[in-house]
Amino acid sequence: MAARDSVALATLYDRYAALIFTLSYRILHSREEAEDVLADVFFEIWRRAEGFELKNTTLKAYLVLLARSRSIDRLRAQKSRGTRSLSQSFDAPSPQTDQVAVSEDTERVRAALGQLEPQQRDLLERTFYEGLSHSQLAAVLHKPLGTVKSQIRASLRRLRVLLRQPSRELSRSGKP
Amino acid sequence: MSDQDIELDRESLLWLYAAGALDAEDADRARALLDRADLGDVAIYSEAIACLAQLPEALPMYRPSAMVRQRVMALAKPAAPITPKSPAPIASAVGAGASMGTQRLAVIAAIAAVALAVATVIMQFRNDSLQEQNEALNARMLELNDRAGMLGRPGVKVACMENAATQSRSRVIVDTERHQVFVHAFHLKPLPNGRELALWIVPSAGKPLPVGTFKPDADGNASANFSLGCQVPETFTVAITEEPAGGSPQPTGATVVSGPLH
Repeated sequence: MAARDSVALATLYDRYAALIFTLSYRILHSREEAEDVLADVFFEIWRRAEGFELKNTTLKAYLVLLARSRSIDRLRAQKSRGTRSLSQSFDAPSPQTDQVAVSEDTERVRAALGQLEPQQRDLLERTFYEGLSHSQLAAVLHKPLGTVKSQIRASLRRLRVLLRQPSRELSRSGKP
Repeated sequence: MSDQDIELDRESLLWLYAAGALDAEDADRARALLDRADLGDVAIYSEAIACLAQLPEALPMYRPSAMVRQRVMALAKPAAPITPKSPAPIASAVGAGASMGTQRLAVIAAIAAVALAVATVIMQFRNDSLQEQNEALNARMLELNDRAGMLGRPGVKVACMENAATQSRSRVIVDTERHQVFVHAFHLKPLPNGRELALWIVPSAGKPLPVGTFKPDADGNASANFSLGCQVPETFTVAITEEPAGGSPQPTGATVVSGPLH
C-alpha cells in the first residue's frame, strides 16, 4: 500500500470490504449509503498510504472503527435532516446473492454475544451500532444514568472475558 | 454529573471511550488520559478497540456491489495528464467591433472570475485547515495503534490480576528483551503513611526479585514503569505487596495481587 500498489489495494479491499460494508449497512440500513462509506474508507486509506503501517489485527480494528465513525456521522446527519430510512426496504442486500459464508471468527463472536444477557447485548448494540452515549441511552431506556453506566461497563467486561475464551469453550458453554 | 451518576474508574473510562458511549465530560477525561500516551492506558484502550472491532464479525456478512470495487480500484490507476487550457482572453471579447452589451458582459464575467478566484482561495484555506485537523487526529490514532503493536512483540508478557476480596486489579507488562516493566493498578485501597506498594518478579525457583515501588493516587489508581536491573528468569509470576516506603529486599507485607504472565 505504501508503494501505492494496485494489487495491495485489491487484496486489502477483498479482505475487508464485506466486513466494512456489513457494519455500515447495520448502522445505516441503506445499501447505497453503506457502499459510500466503504468507498470513503478506502479513499482515506489510499490517501494516507505512504505513512501507513500494515499490521493485520490493528489494521482491522482501525478499519472497523473508521467505518463505524463515518457511518455514525452519516446516521446523525440523516436524523438531523429527517431522511432516515427512506430507502431501507428497497435496497437491502439479498441473503441469496449477497451473503458471505460464515467464518470461524463469526461463529466465535456470535457464541460470545450469545452468552451475554439479552439486556447486556442490547446495550452494547445500541452503543456500538447506534452511537448512543450514556445519557442518550439513559433517556431512551428511562433509567438513571449511573445504572446505564454500570450496565454497559458490566457488558463490556463480560464481552472481554468471553472473547478471550477459545471458540470450543464458548460453544460448549453456549446457550442453546 | 447528576446525583444518580457514578464515577468511572480509568479502565472503564477507556473501554467506554473506545465504545463511543461517553458523554462529552467523560470523553474529555478519556482523551486527556490518552494524550498522556501512558503505555498502560494505551494498552487498555487498544485492547478495548481490538475487542469491540470484533463485534461486526457476528453480523450476517454481505458483499457490496462490484461497482464499489471499481470505484476504489480506480484510485490506483495513474491519473490522466491534465493539459492546462489557456483562458480565453477577455480582451478578445472586447474587440474593436464588440458592442456595448458585449463589453458589459465581459466586465461582469471578469468580476465573476475574480470573485470565484477569491472564493476558491478562501475555501482552499478552510479545507487545508480541516485537512490538518483530520491528519492530526489520524496521526494520533496511528500512534496509539503503534503503541498497541508493542504488545505483540516477542518477549512481551502481560499479567492481568484481580484480588476478588478487595476488588483490586492490576495489569503488568514485562518486556523481557528491553528489560522494562509497566504496571497499572486500579481499585487500590489507600495506604497508611510510610507504606508503598512494591512490584516483584517471582521466579519459579528462588527468591522474589524487587522491581520497584509506587503509590496509588487519591482515586485508588496507580501507574509506574521500571527498568529491570536484573536478568529476567525463564519462568516467573508477578506480585504486588504492601511494603515500608522505599521497599524491602524481600516481601514482608500483604499481597495485593499476584498472578502469572501470558
